[in-house]
Amino acid sequence: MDRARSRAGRYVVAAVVLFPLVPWLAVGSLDERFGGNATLKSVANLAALFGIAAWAATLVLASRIRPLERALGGLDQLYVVHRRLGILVVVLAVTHALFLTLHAGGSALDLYLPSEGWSTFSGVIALVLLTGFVVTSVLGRLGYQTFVLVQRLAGAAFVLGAFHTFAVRGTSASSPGLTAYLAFLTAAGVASLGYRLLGGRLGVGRHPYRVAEVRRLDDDAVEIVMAPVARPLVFQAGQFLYATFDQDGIPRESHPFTIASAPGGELRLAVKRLGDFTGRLMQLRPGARAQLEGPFGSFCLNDDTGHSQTWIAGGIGITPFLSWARSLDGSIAVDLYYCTPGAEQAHFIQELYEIADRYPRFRVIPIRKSSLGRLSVEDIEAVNPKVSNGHVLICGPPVMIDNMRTGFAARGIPQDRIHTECFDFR
Amino acid sequence: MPELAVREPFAHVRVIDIAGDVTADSDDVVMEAYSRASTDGVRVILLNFAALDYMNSGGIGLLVTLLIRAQRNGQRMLGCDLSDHYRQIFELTRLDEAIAIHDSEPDALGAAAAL
Repeated sequence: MDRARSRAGRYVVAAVVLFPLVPWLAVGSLDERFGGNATLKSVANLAALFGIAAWAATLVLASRIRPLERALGGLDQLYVVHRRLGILVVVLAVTHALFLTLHAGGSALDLYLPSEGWSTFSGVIALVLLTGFVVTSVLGRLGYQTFVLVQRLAGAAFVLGAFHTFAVRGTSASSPGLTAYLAFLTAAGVASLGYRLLGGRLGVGRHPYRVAEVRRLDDDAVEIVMAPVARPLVFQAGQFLYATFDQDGIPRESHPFTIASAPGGELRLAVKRLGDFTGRLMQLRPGARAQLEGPFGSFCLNDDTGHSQTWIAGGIGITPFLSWARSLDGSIAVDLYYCTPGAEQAHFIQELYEIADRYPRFRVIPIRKSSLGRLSVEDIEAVNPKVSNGHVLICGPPVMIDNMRTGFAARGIPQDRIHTECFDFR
Repeated sequence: MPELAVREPFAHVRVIDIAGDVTADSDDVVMEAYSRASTDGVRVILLNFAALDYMNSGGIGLLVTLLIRAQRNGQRMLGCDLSDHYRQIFELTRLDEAIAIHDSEPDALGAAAAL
């Protein structure tokens, strides 16, 4: 949610990836490295150095430890960086292989054969596995468990890649500083991988709950009401948790859900059928046990009463706003645009109207695509000419977030007053 | 809510007489009235609230979506004849920032003619 913090965190990640350039530059002259055929090898080496640093960084980010989440402005932003880094690693690894191949000329094929020795061939295997895993993760429509398995296998491929990095006679060997830096990053990456494999939840509370009620909203959505069995989960409005349910027919998988209730009292989740697991949750029954982990996320209620707030929800992206609305005290001027395909998908709108009846400064504006089309920034400006003086908070599908962010930025709203939460990563 | 009356006091201006209760359930009736009013190059839509009995947050949301439609069609939206209670509601809900409110229909039509 904190845009400035998120940007600073991204700069740190970029610095971690690019840092190998410093010791690399210190151990040789550029004339020697960028003359004739040597250029090909230098590009290959730099791609390898940045690539292994970026790969280690993806594993560290995947550890999901709290300081990293905070540094990048929330878990959704952390996953965005993780995903982009993963794609970058593949690009750099392929660049590395391509330029080495060009450099080797006629003997290039030998580089890809086991006869070249394990120090080199481990890199070939790592490249193939990495490319396959990342392409599958990014382009494939994987089930949750398959996705987790692919991510872990990609982590295992990192070990091969790291072995290759240190086993071949490359630039790292000529610079103790570079070797030490890569060793540190590799250790951090492996430690993060181990932490995740051991089910790491450092600093994250686990809370047993019991399902008290399952309220059917329609054929594809339910609201799950839960009561704590022991110590309740303490959270801020807008945060999310990971939930595991114990009931026959529902996989014992941990999945993220935004908390729809206000802090305190019963805990509520709004679940829409978006995949296999959420489809099974339509069969959840009262009495089922649940294990909740969290809270996570920083898309929390902004209590700045000095500026108006524009909340834009796309579909089930209403859940954090629902939690916020249930926490309102009437002191904040809010316009909530609730965008749904039609009236029947506008779950909870009656409750939102009831809250608005209590607090007139809270306006609920239904935007039904079937009759009104898509919401635009011009629409919002027509309703609130002073929108650019306030905060804009958006939760919904990535396309909607991108369009709105671009539109508001074009009208000069500072980025640090546009707050977003993408639920796509969940 | 019965069908809302639509009048044409002069060219390019239409008056919609809002009557009875305006809630989220009034969507079809209000939008149908707007469709009837929004023809022939209409530039100003005047909502006359003289016969308004009750409006809640669902009705406020409905007026906002009406405002969005009018803006998309390049029309200005005005209001008139609000009771003191609903004038206060318009202020609290900031609707008066987007819909210019006038004391009476003649005042509003005068403003519309000047647009």
